[in-house]
Amino acid sequence: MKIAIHQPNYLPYPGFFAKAGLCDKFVIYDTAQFTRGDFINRNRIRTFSFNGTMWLTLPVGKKKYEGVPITEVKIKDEAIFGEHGKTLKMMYSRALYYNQEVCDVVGTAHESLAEHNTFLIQYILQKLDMKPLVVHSSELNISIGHGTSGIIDIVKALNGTEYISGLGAKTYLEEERFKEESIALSYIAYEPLRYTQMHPGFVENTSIIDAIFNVGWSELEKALKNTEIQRQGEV
Amino acid sequence: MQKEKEIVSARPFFDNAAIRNILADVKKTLKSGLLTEGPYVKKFEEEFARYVGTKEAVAVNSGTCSLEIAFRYFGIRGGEVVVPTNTFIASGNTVLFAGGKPVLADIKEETLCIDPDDAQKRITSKTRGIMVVHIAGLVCPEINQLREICHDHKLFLMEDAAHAHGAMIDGKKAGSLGDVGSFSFFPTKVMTSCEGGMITTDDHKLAHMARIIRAHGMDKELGQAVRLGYNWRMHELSAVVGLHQLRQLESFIKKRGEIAKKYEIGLKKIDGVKSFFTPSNIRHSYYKFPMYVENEIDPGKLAAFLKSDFHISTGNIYYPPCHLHPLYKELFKYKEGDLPVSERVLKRVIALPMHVLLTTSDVDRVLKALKISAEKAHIS
Repeated sequence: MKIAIHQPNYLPYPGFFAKAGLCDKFVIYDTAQFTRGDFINRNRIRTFSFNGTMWLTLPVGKKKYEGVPITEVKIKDEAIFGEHGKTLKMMYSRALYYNQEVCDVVGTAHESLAEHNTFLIQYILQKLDMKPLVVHSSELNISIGHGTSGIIDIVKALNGTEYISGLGAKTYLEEERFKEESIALSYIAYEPLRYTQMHPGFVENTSIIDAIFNVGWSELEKALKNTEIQRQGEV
Repeated sequence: MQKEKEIVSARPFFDNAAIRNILADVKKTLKSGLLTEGPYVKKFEEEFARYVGTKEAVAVNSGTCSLEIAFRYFGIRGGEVVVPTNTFIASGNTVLFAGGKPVLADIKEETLCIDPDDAQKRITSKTRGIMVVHIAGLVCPEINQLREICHDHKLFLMEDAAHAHGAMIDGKKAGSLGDVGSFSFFPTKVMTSCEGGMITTDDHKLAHMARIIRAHGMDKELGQAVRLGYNWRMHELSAVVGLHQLRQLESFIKKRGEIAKKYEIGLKKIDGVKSFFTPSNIRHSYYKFPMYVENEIDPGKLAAFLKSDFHISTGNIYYPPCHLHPLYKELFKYKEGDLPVSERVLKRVIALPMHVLLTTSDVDRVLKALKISAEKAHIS
């Protein structure tokens, strides 16, 4: 049973979905602390200037939510959803695979940040024909520790035998702990997608929205499902 | 003194990201061993049809053969096709190669496109169809009138959209406005596949026949030759280039539109030259930026001064018109005065440099050079 865990980021980059597509249970870590300046309430899309990007940010109010669980974060301005939908239309309506449905989904209003992001993540997973069981950490009813301990708590609660991590976590994960708990540890070997963007130049790891509109669901699905995993020694 | 860099009239554009992506796909293709009629041609066709808004798109190895294939499908042998005289000679030649006779029609001086009234006058009992050329990237504003004429006379309407990738009228793209559309991907075009062409249509039978004709007339399902065909296939490496260019086409058109806007503003400040009007329901793709040179200026000298004094290359659209080429004079006995609007207007049209790599300072340089050259080329 492969488990992957990630905070509910806003319209995440394609690598997020490459990881989700590799596991059996995908944990939306919505009890993690909200941090400003991260990707939880914002992400980048392309603009028409050379290598230009802009942020799509969901306003949550100044400092109010710093350090509180993401589940408690509310979005300040209800009009922002529609505005983001319109911005996507403005920036991508000429893209080969533009479709209004995506903008309408992005424009759907939710009160809670976690609820909104999860709604979008689940929509994208479904369109990519990725079918991990999506689990919210807030629904696990367990005490979750910090760092590696927290991950092991979640994996064990879900009867996981393998944990799939992003490569970036290699620097801080205590790999020995996974061995002790008889949990296989794997890293995804995700290479940023290379595709031709409609906008001039190329900026990697923008929101997955950019790839959806530039290459379409089908090619994107194929590319993400090609992602491999690197196993760290068998347990 | 250091020589100023040359400003060329047209050139293709590939940014570093596109080059990297193209090379990755070229590598994949070479390793696959599938070098023709493979997945990239199929993908290019699918995406092009999706972009243009037709049910079918068939990739071939030039714009010229895309025209001839369509004419062969329509069975023009022994018949006539009305073709504007203001077009590249290949437009008329393909009618000849398909066994028909090109009957050249005059143009409207405001648009440089075919004059529907003149085209109608040239319809006879032998006429099978009319060709419209969206000249320089301007969708012929009278396309609806042409469609009605074709409908009334039971003729096909062929769009030669070799200049008009992504050009639109009333929100509909060139290549989706007639019975069949033809595109060229020659390197100077709005987008390129190095060499190549595409047929667009809603007619599944036409698309099926085009796939047969492009591959020696062989029907793959039957394994037998059912038509006389050629090797007109597009190869996979061309399709790779075309596919990546297509995905950036909208940004190319946007950039070309911005350059055109600067030219339009700049030309208003120069005596003796003017730009052409684009109706508000049309999105021009600006394959070329045509400029009209008034009678008091010698257009030949103007172009020569731009080249010799300022290293700026220009082009024409199209002079001489088809009916004044020696070949057509000889074959069809055309002579000066037969199509007076085109003869009067086209020799006074210069195409200014137009491509995605032109910078704001390049455009400013062209406009400054134009002002000086226009004064110098003034007929005293």
